Amino acid sequence: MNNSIWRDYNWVLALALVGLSIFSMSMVFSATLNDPMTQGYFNRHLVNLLIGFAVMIAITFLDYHAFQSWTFPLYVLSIVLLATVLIYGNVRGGAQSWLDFGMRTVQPSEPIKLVIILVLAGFWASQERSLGTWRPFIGSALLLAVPLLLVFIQPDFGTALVFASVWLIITWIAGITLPQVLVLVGVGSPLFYFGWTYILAPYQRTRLLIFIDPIKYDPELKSGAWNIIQSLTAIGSGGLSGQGWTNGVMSQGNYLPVQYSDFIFAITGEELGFIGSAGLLLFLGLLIWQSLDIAANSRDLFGRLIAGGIAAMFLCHVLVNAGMNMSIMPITGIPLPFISYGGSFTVTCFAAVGLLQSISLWRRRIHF
Amino acid sequence: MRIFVPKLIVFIVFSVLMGRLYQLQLVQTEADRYNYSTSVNTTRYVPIRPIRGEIFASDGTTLLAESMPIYTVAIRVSDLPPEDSPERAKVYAQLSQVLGMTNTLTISPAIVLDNDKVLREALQTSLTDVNVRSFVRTDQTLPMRISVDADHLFGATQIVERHAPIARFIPRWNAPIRNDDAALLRDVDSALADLSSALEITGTLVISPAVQISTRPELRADMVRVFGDEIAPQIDKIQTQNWLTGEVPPSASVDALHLSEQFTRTLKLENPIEILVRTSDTPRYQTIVVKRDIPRTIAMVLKENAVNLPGVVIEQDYRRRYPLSDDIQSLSHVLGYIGRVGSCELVRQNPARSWVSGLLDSIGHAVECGILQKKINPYELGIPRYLNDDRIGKSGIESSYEEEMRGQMGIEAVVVDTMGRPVRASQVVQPTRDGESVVLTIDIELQRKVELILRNWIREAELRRVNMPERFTYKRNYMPLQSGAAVVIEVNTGRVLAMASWPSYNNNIWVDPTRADELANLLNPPPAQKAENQRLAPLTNRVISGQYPPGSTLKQFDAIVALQEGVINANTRIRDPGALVLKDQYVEDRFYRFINSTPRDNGWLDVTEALMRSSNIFFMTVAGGNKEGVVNLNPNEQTIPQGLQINRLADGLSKFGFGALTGIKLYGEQPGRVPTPGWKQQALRAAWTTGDTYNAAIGQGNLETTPLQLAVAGAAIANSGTVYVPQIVRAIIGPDGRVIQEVPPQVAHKLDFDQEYYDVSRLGMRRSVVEGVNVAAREECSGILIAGKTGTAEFGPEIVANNPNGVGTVLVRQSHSWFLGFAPYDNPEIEVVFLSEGSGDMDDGSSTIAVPAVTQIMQAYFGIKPPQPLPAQCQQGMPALPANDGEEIIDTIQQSDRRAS
Repeated sequence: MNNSIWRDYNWVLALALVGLSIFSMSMVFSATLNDPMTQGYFNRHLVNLLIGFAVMIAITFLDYHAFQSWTFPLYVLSIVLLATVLIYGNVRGGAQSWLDFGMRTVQPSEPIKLVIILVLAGFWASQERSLGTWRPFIGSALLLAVPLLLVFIQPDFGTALVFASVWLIITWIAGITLPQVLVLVGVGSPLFYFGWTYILAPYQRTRLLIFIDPIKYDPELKSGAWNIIQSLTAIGSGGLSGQGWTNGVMSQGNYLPVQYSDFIFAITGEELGFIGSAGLLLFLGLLIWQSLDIAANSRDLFGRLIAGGIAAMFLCHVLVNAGMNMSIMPITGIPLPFISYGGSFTVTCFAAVGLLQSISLWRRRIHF
Repeated sequence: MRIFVPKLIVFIVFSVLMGRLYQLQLVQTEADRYNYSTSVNTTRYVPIRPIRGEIFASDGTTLLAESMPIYTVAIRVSDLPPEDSPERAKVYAQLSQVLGMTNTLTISPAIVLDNDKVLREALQTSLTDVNVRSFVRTDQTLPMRISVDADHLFGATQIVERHAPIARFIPRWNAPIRNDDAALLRDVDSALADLSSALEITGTLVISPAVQISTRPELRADMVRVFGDEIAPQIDKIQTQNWLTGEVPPSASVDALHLSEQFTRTLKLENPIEILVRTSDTPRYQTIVVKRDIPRTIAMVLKENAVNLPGVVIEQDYRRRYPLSDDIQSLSHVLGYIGRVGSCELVRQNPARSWVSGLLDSIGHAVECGILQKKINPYELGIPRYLNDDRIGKSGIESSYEEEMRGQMGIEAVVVDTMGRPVRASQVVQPTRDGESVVLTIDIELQRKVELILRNWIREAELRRVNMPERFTYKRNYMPLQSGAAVVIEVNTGRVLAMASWPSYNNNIWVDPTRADELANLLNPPPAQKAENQRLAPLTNRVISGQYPPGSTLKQFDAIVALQEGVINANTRIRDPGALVLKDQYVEDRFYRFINSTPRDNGWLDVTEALMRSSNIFFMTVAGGNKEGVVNLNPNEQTIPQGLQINRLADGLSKFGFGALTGIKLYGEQPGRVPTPGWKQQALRAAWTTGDTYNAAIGQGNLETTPLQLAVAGAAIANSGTVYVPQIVRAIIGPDGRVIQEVPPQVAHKLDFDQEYYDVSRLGMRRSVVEGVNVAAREECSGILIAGKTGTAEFGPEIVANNPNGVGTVLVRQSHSWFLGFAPYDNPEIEVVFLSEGSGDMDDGSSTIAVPAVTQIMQAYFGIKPPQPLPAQCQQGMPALPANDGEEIIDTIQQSDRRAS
């Protein structure tokens, strides 16, 4: 190896990752400290981080073009897995999205997010000559439709949202024409209206609306307003510098539901205050910004689209999770990247960073 | 451009998130809004359960179901004085004194008892009941603790390496403050000691137990080597700690508290209530139960002193008891029982807030509950009508008067902050209203006697079965006769005075937690007993739920219908040769024989004679005619060509209430059945025949009634034409004892038959007593003017039995014994129905079991003693009243079983 490879390695991204890992360990430790139900989660989280790190290193030094030929089998496998989950999966937190492999349970929809990015990027890259035409636009939309539908009926709105935003950004970067935008709006709006009115159950609609005014939409605090109020109380009581790590009254009293995952941002807000949670957001922002930089500097369309898709995935997770904690987004249980406890997603995030680094490393034609 | 737009989006998203974070955490007004001090308040509803209404017998004073109040002492933490304050300790001490809970006193160190004269005297004067000398002494050596600076760290590490786990090293930054903390700290192994040394960490070397220093010379030598000789005096002096613990009787709780406040350094008082509150995990606005079921007097004392005992709550609940059901078990069927509300009952009883939620709730439980209709009440408060652990009436009066007896749950609203602390005093949203009580029409003395009479005669029937003579051996093989029913109603009001069904159960086992095993045995009997339990169905109230063929008791109604329809008049005579032979309507050369109970030529009968002799042939002819298909009569004897036919008969019977619910407000009533051609076609897929009409006329075939239906219909003849809705409740009275509602007699409908026809039917029944075989009811034997009609109704499969005459075999069926009678004949007051299952062929059970049983019931009602001695023409050997107590009866039956086998 020579120096040039390290010149192309994205050190800012690596730095952001180190910062996020420290945040992650601290917050999962604090969130599971006083709850007898979650004892041992911290150790498992450390293991998850280590596995993720190893996967990341492995992918970093792999030419990401290797994935281009795998996209079709990976896509088929994903569909099969999602269908399996629907039929045989365990229900947790209201959605049927877990597969039990005896020793561990795995949530296939998390790694499949990455697979969808690879599949869409690979498809667009193969259609490079006909960019700007209808053919790849409709093709990619069809590719997305099947997994989107499968997660939608789990029902896992969070993941569906991630799929949709990944597709949007990838399509945008690959090139979308004005008529296509118009068609998208023309088809999307009625679909959205139909889904909202006829497919969603009243309680699901309530859940999605609660954040606007928790007390008004859920006066009995049954459908999630309680969660939001607890979360807002926790964040609000953090102030500038927080109540101190492992010292939050709400956090240590376990007043927050799933506080090691969905509401880990509220714990950060309470215990580390504005300084801590803004710092956390900054690290996440740095990560996403670097992803887009890598996309901009990528050698080819495939790499550009992967990096863009990963940026979209992270952005969507951050917006929905942090937004839910602060009551500006609907309640959908998707985790905060790198911070939340949860093996499948942690490993997926690290793998995504590995891909980013690989794209960064291979941006010049010749390396070795 | 392509990357710029996503970057712009990222920028906007993070700006929004940061802005929101800033707004939530740093802008003052928002921070106030979401801070603990002024946090979001939510309303929690606290339910207060009402006391269930009681059930009285008709005299209005005899309790049949009572709600015994029980009191529970609880603590509501949010109302207690502040934590660790002397006021709170005082509340605990006073409460434990009243409730008789023992405190624990610790004197530490033990030596002060000998040294401190002041303490000793104080103990003796204020705690006279406590023998301090009997306190248990505990000795404990303290761990040896040597502080280690950086210079000696390596040596300390060596000691730890060699002597772990006796020797441990505890780094400075979390050096223990109290002794017992040391035990909680994790052991630090030698590797960590190495690390400490590398990082120049100082700490404490702990040797525990310290005695090991003297028992292990090498440990002492190591320590001297590492820390130098000057350590020797310190490590040779082992420090010990000792204390005395003992119990303080409840009466001395408060004194002990004063003492412990006086001698804070040496005395420590542990209150059991304090420990309970400290260890419980209940929200602060809810209550923690301290003691259940305390005596009323103590509850009153605590209530009166509520001002001095803030935070102490007396909660009232009730326990159900059926005081007379142990003695009169037949009451259990009437009263029913209460039990924990089931999930389907919850769905049914708790109103929905909107029709949408009601529909969802109903459909959501459709699999286990079927489709239920739900009430909708948009103003339903935060607490449903029934909570998950509520009790609800499951059967009998308890179920049908659930609405009235339950009362209304009180609801208090407590506004709490996010930490569960109440922010202001609780507010009554809905006051508690205790349940209303119910006064039954049941005359408890009559009920007691009716049950005894019923059991006596069932036993008599069983004795006859096992002692059947040799030629009736097949009867000995019948299942044991153990069941029957009796009901007494007032002719002119329809009120039920007594209602007994046997076998029964004791409904106390449903509500008394100590008798849960008896209940389990009843509901889930051992396999050997299961079939018998199913056959005897002790949980079924046969009076309203048992559907039986009524047999000849139906003839009095046939008579009126036939007279009204003009098929006969009072003087019409019909030929009764003892049997009718009917040609099959559809199959050539197939004949059916319809017979009387005794094969005798009765000649020509009019309607009262037919009732007197209980002629089947007369009433079959009246119902189905004796012309079409009848082959054993001369043409001049075939005087009734058509008869009523089934439709007119069924219509007439239905007017009396057969085939429909009587409307008694008791859970589980069955409608019985009046068969019609349409019904037969639908249910049995077969055509109606004249034979079916014949069978229906004599209360056989598919005609079924409940004993209560018979009583109501019989009363309608006795009172000349009024069908009453039988009533079981006379009045409803409020919790304060005021009568809320008198229940007036309720007329179901008036019959439109001519008055003279009732007289004819009644005369026929009077003749059946005076001239017929029902001798026990005759005036000279009973002392009462009784009229009535027996019935022997066949049921079950045909049995092949040896002909009692000794030649060949005959087909026989088992039969029930009925008697349906009223008295006095000239001015009817009561109608009595008696049924003894399966005893119809036990020496003519209807006239020698059912008739004397009804006679005894009537004697009990009118307070008439039978003539002593009984005239010779009367039925002799009747069981005496009052009969033997229940246990002996059961014994007798078991003995008879043994004799039978």
